Order: sequence, then C-alpha cells, then structure tokens
Amino acid sequence: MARTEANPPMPDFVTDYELAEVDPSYLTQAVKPKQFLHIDQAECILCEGCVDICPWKCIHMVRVDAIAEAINTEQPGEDPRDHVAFIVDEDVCTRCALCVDRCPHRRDHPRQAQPRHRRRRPAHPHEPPRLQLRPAVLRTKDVDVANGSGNGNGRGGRILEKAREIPGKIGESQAWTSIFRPGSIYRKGYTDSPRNRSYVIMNNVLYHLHPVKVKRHAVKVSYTLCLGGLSFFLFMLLTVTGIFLMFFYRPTDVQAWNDVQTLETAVTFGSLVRNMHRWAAHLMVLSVFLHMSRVFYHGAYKAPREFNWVIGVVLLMLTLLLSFTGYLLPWDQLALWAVTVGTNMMGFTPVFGSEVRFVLLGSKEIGTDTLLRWYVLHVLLLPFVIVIFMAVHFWRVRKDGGISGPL
Amino acid sequence: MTDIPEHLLKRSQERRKALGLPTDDEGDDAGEAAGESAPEADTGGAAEEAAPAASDEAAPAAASAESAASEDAAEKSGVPAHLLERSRRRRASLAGDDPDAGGGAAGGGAAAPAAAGAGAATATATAAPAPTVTGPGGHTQRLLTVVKSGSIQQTRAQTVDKVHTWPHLLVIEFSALLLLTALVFIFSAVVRAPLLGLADFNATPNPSKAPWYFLGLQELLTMFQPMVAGVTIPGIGLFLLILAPYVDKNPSNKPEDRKFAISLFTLFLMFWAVLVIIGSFFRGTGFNFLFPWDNPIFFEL
Repeated sequence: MARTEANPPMPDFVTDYELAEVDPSYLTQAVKPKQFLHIDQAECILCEGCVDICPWKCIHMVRVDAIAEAINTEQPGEDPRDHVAFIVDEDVCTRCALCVDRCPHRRDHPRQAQPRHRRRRPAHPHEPPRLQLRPAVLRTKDVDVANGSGNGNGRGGRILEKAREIPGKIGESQAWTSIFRPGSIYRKGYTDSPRNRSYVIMNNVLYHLHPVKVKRHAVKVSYTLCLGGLSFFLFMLLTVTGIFLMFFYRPTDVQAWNDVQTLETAVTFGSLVRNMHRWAAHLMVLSVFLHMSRVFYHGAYKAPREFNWVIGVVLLMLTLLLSFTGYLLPWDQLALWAVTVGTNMMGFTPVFGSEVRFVLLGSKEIGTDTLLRWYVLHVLLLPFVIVIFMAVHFWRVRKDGGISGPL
Repeated sequence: MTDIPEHLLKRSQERRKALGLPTDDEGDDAGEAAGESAPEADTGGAAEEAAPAASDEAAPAAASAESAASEDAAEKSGVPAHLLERSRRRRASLAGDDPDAGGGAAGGGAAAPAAAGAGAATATATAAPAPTVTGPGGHTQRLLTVVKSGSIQQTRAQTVDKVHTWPHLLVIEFSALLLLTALVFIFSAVVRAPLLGLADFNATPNPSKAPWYFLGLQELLTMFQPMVAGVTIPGIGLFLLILAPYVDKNPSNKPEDRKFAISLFTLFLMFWAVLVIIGSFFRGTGFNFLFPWDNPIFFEL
C-alpha cells in the first residue's frame, strides 16, 4: 500500500455530492455507530497519520472549500488556504480505532483515546469504494517567466529567460526531489503559517529529536537553562575538535607529548583546537552536572521519568570517564600524576582491587600500554557507549511526555 | 457509542428544542427501553452508553410515525430544509431540468433524497428518515473536523498549552548553540590549555592532584581509609542518586511540597562542592591545608 505523502497536494473533492450539517440523532440512525471518531482541532498537527493508517482509506484530508458550502463555519486565521477538513466515510469505517492509536497526540488527550470497541465486527464484505480524489498539480515554485523577460526579444533576453527557469527546473529535478521529502519547505517553499510550521519539523531529521509542538513553558530558557541541549552540543563540539586532534597524535609514551607539542606550535589552528577541546570538556562535565541539579530541583525525575533519571546518572558517569581518560593523553606531568592519583583510588576496590587496576592500566604501572588503552577508550569505546545512552535518553524524554513541569 | 464531545451534545440539545423534539432529559424512559432492546445490549457496559444514542434514534422515529406531513419528516431527518432545497435544485440543474418542476415536494421545501431522486420524495417523507446525505457511491461522509489555520495555535485552559517547535524552540536552541560556540571559541583563543613538561616517573610533583571533579574524592582520602573514601562513599552516593526517583514517593514537583528532598539534595551538592573547592584551592605542598592567599597554589585544569 502506498504511503500517504507527508504533504500531498491537497485533493479536490468530487463535486457531485451533498454534504450538510446534520443532527447527531440523524447520524446515529443513519450509521449506527458504536463510537465516534473525534479530532480535537486545537491539537491536530496535520500529520495525516490517521489518513495514512486507515485500512479502508475512509478518512480524507481535504481543502475546506471542497466542502465549504456544507459546513457553514466561520474561517478565522491568517491564511484561509491553510484550513483543511478531515472527513470520514461512515459507511466504510469499521471503528478499528487504528487511527486513534496512530495519533501522536493521543497521550495528552484522553478524549481521543476512546476504548476499543468490545465486539469484533464481521469482516467487511466488499472492497471499500474510494473517493475519487483528483490530485491537484502543486508546483514547487512559481517561476514567473512571462514577467521576467521584459527587456526585449534579444538574445540576452532569452538567456536571461533561460536563467530564470533554472531554479524551477532544479526544484523539479529528480535529484532535488529525491533529497527533500515531499512536504519539505525546500520543495514547496515556505510562508509562515501553522501548517508550514508543522511541516518544517515533520520533514526534517530533527523530527527524531523534537515533536511538532512542545509545551509552551518548555521553551522558556529560564526553565531548562538549555543545559541538557548544551551538554549534547558540547559533546558534538568535542567530537569535531577531537577528530581534528586525532590526525596529529600517536598514543605512545615516546611520541605523545612531542605530538602535542608539535600540535601547539607547528599545526595551523592546532593550539586553538586543542584549547577548545580542553575547555569544552571541562564545561561539559560542569553542564551535565548542572543539568542533573536542574532536573532534581524541578522534580523531573518523578514518574514516569524515573528510568530516564537513571540513564542520566549513567551519562554523568560516562562523561566523567570520558574526561578522565582524555586527561592522560597529553602525557605531561599533570596528566601522569593526576591519573596516578585517580587509578590508585580505583585500586582500593574491595576484592578485585589490583585486578581492576591492572585492567585499567594494561600493566602494573602506568606506561605506554595504559596510554594506548585509554586512547581507545577515549576516542572509540566510551563515545560509542555514551551515544547509545544519549539516544535512549532523548527518546525517553519524548516518550515520557516531553519535558516536565510546569511547576 | 462513547464520549460524544460535550459541545456536540449541547448543540444537539439546542437543536432538538428548536425543532420541538423531546430532549434527552424528557426522553429518558424511551431511551432506556430502546437501550435494552438494542443489539448492543448483550455487551453489558455498552448498553448504558448506547442509551442516549438509542433515545436519539427512537425519538424521531416515533415522531415521524405520528406526523404524516412531509415537511415535518424532512425537518426531523435532521437536514435543514434550506440545504435540502439547495441540494434538490443543484441536482435538478445537473439533470438539466427546471428546478421548480423537479418534484411535487418542492413547495414544501421537503426531502430530496439523493439516492432515490425526486419521485421517491413522498416515500421518504412517510418512512423513517433515510440517509439523505450521500457521498459518492451512496456513502455517508461525516465531517471529522475542520482544522482552521488559526486554531492550531489556539490556547485552551483544559488542554496542554503548546507552541510549534519551529520557530519557537529551534530558534532558542540555535541561538544558545551559537552563543556557546562563540564563548568556547573566544575563551580558547585567549586562555591556553596547560601543557606541562614531559611525564617523568622520577619527579613526583608536590602536591599531586587528580582532575578537579575527582578532587572531592581525593579530599576524602585525607579523612578516611582509601577503601572507604575511594570506593565506598562514592559508590553509596551513586547508588543513592540512582535510587532517588524510586525512594522519593512524593508525587508533587512543587518546591514548597518537597522541602526535605530539596534540602537533602542541596546538602549533597554542597558536600561535593565544598570538598572540590577545598581540594582545588586550599591544598598546598604535601596536600596540607593552607589558604590560597598564603602561598601560590597548585591548580591546573
């Protein structure tokens, strides 16, 4: 079954119909429903999930003017072209409630989460008739060729004319349309309207991170202080600068310190990037810690977010370990003795103390084996693990109902 | 039928009053009777839910049986007369007929059932209201909702107050990101990261200090046995931190309701902060306590 596009051209509705506002009593007689579908228009984000998932294809999103004469509604709003209507074919709908399950905003609105019907309906006897939806042609951009070539019929005019067609042609090319999803603003243009605001997120990789709409209080800087997001961003900054540093660094006791020294003195921007890596690392430890404090003071670790708090504590530990493993790599006096102090402490682990220390150091004492071991931990293993935990962390933030609050 | 939205029920009530039909309150008896005989009755809980629906069903049927007048029946089918009239005219004009000659029922503004055509008008009028509103293929299309462009941001007290991620959240995130990058960039351009001499196993610096975030632990080492300071205390701290959401059963997140939790956590924070600060700035040669203004302190990040 072909998936409904995220932003398909608005269909025209067939014209030979009568649609009228009817009394609920009439409706109950005409279709004998056990349940009514109800869409909360204030919450609808126009994701078309319900349209998409309907096994009978009996829910349709249409332009309001397709049914305008029937519905007799006033149409407020800045851009009436952006109004849409959802209609359901009551004779075909089996009340399977798949659309209700599919609705991404169901959690917050129990009114939509109607109970599944108690009895199974017999299988539908015939293939559901479909509305004949005539797709309207939606152009990416209107290239105004006619007005553009006002400077004569000469050759220059024609070249200019051709040049003006280029953006339109690029926009329609297979390469361009393959890169951007149908609803993307890079295909259909952007004018500020609620519908387009929804589509910006829905057709963007950021949809993995953010829902289309967030609680109003959640966007207040004074609530989160951006600490979680900034921790994540610092991690990315550290990854980028860290990759740069890796080009100039060899983790052996003979070469490490010299490599850092060379980086400082002989590599273009080497000193700057190393400084950024160092300071961003300290800042990240701080911001993760402050993020944890913020979450505690807001009581955001309470149900249903308990497990995400646990993941957060693990992330704090991983952050400290990442910072600590990176501390040794310059192989200077500061690194060596700080790590000596740190690993000596780990040697006091009950029962397995010396084993733990040996595994961490790769030998009895800190040396080139330790350097290699911590290097691999620092640039590969720990980042890998922390990315996985971060993915779960961010996913749970959304699944647990967005950020907590308001207080 | 569950949970017809409040406003629809209200509108239905108003409309019933306007039409002179019994409202739900008056038609309760009939509704219950109908509910028992309804096919859904065997599903237990569904019977009660079905009752209002059944009363809706029963009332117009009874009414239309009494009244033979086609106008009344059309009224009670729930479709406003002017719409039926419009529909009939449109149908007639599509067929190329003269609108007024379309059927005998025209004068009364009565039913013009889409499927049956003008000839069946009287039949519809006497029978219980038939589906007059049909879509292609004779299907009843029901309007689920009209999502107005303004309504997407409409705020209501009952629902969660939400705003669009774009632009409200993304703009803030992006500016925070730019600000942080600028901060780190400028700071890094001005302040150099420390790089001391080559690691030398034979020259132990005095004092030797762990990275700043472990200085709290190092500070504990001066007070307790290594195993207690290095493993037991941080282990317990970590364990308590993980357990916090499972121990704290207080459902409120208001600060005034959580005085104990907040003071405990503040104590926890202060404990580590004080230890780290002492370890960083108040420890000199031999890790002895001294004030930062007495001697140049050893502190490198």
